[in-house]
Amino acid sequence: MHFDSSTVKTSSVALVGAPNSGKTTLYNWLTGSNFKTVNYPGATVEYSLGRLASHLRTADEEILWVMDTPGTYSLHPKSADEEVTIKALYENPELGRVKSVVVVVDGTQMSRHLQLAQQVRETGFPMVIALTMSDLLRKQGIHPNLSLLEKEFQCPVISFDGLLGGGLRELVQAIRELKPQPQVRKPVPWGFEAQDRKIQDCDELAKLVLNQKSEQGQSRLQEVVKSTQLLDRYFLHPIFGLLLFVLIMTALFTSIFWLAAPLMDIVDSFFGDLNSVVSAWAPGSLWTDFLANGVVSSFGAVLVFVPQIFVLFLGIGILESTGYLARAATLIDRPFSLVGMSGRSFVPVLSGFACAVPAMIATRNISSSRDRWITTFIIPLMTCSARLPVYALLLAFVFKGQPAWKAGLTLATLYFAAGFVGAIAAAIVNRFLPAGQNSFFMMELPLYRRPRLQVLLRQALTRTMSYVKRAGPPIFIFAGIMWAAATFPNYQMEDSQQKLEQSYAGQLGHLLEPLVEPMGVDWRVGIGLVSAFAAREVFVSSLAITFNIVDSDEDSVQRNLLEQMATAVNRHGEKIFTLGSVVGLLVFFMIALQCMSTVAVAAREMGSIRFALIQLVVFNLVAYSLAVAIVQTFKALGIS
Amino acid sequence: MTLLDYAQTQIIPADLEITDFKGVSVICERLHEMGLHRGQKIRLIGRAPLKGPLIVQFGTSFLALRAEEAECTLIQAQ
Ligand SMILES: Nc1nc2c(ncn2[C@@H]2O[C@H](COP(=O)(O)OP(=O)(O)OP(=O)(O)O)[C@@H](O)[C@H]2O)c(=O)[nH]1
Repeated sequence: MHFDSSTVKTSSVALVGAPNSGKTTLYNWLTGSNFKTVNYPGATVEYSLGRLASHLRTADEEILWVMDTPGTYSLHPKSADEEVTIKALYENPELGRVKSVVVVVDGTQMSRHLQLAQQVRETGFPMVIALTMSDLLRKQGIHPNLSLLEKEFQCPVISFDGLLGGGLRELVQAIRELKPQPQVRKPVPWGFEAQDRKIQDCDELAKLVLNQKSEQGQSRLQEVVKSTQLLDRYFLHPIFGLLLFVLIMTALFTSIFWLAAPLMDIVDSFFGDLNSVVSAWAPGSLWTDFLANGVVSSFGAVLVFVPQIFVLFLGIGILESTGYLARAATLIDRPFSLVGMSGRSFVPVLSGFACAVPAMIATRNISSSRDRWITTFIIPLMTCSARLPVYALLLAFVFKGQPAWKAGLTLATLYFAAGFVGAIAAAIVNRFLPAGQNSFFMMELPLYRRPRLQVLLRQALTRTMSYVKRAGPPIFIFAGIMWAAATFPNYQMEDSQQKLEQSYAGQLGHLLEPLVEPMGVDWRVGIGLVSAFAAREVFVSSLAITFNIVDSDEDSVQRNLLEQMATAVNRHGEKIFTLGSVVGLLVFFMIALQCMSTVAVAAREMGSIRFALIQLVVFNLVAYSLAVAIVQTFKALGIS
Repeated sequence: MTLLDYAQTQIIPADLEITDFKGVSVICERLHEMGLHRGQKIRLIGRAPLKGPLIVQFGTSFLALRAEEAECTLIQAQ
């Protein structure tokens, strides 16, 4: 059979639009993927590429690359994420120059979003306008005059419903029918006067298209913003607004403890049972010992905290999808600007409580490079989810047998304390950094939206699973290493305490002891601290191995570990886990930078290895010194 | 009068009209990109606590503007 390669069409289309206009939602429909959509302007900071979903192709061979880009208000970029968009259009590493563009225009924000369409028009890219949020317009009985828009822009205009996907096929067809353009121009700035005039024109045009010429038409469109106006009266109120902000953040951080508690019990007893089952296979054999006390205990000790991480992701997800984050950023702009950042730093800093890596990438939305520098510098101080297992274990130890709200409130305090430490760090850096150019805030406040529970749960689950996948391998590898190091060379020895003392881990630990002794802990904890540089949560699993060596009939991995910690003594017979040493450990983990992925991303995002190294050295030195100072003060005061 | 002056001396909320832009050109450009223009009718709704950003509504859009940004926006009361 003759195969004509020219029938295989390869083309590409980029979705370009203002922040929050619904690009990612449209992208998900077009490619059949499941990227998270967020009701915050500037959530997408990296372009993504996907092939047209198979059910939308005319032939199996058709290849249409669809590209989602970071939101941009114009083709004259003013922040790093907007630059990503321009680069992705003109000199895309995978596609070269894209063939065509879909300008995504939010139907409820038409007057503002049309100017971008105008700019794209001037570059000569073959284009289609997709009018999103058409469901919201329809609900108010507004039927946009699409042919008027088509006439003005000389391109197809398709109305699209992001909730149900209505208009998808028409849009794909319109993209297919675009005529390729051999040449496109770079965007040319309009200049002040021309820009002002063009925006007035867009405003007028939008009014015509949306039938806004009559009083009645206008009041219809205003219905769309009614509830937002009402809610903002409280959320942005000078007094209630701040109160609600503190309340919401406290609720977020305390719920991590109490909301997750029942789930944690289930996970914990599951691993406890698993441990006994595995131990019973062949009591006394090396393999059973490895599986039960090495693998199962290590995973059990860390995975107990997965429900908490899920609750945290869920909470952040709720704030993202309702539209509250932009309000929070507005409320916090003033306090943040005192330490050299802006309200735009709020979302990256808040994401830092989940994980520093995406948080650092999210700083691209900050337009001033100085603000961005400071924000990236302090992000590793935020309580990322890898610290949670460590904090939770230490707090469970301190508040053993006491009501859950105490530990919950202390955990919330720790989260706020991270913010406080971050503020101090930012203030110090702000002092020494040379003054920069103008930084601007200018934040669009999106309309409030009701989040859909199903979407929220799925997104939180996806993020939690990716956490587990990331944390899994280091836990497994270190579980193996730790177990072997703690078992050999004298694996046949009867006295387990002595066996550990003389093992390889014990020998290494004794070398480390002078370094960790000032922190009030012994070599076993020292090994945990060192292994935490592989991943913070490995600290917990490493304790599970070094302290859990003595077999016991507890039905829960965590309770067993807590029991061991309570009775553990160093070689002078003094208790290891005192209030002083636990506080010291908490402070150490709060500040220390123990995550190598963070170091790598910091170097890449800031384009400076020096930046990342300074961060690494400074944070760890400060963490160690502070921990020692605290432990020694507690000792001197006689508190134990 | 600038939007900032207005917010500091007059009663909020208030209906205003933009007359012009002045000052830092990149801020003026971004104000335009956000959809503001001469003759635009805006409503100053409020101000975030601690002398934070001003909250402005025009049409179906809400915008938070820092003091420096509100200073670039000239307005007259309606
Ligand atoms: N009612 C309605 N909501 C929509 C529609 N399209 C998107 N949304 C919602 O609008 C918000 C923003 O959508 P996204 O797709 O994340 O917008 P984006 O343009 O990718 O935003 P950035 O990543 O910030 O540039 C989300 O809360 C979506 O659920 C639509 O057609 N109708």
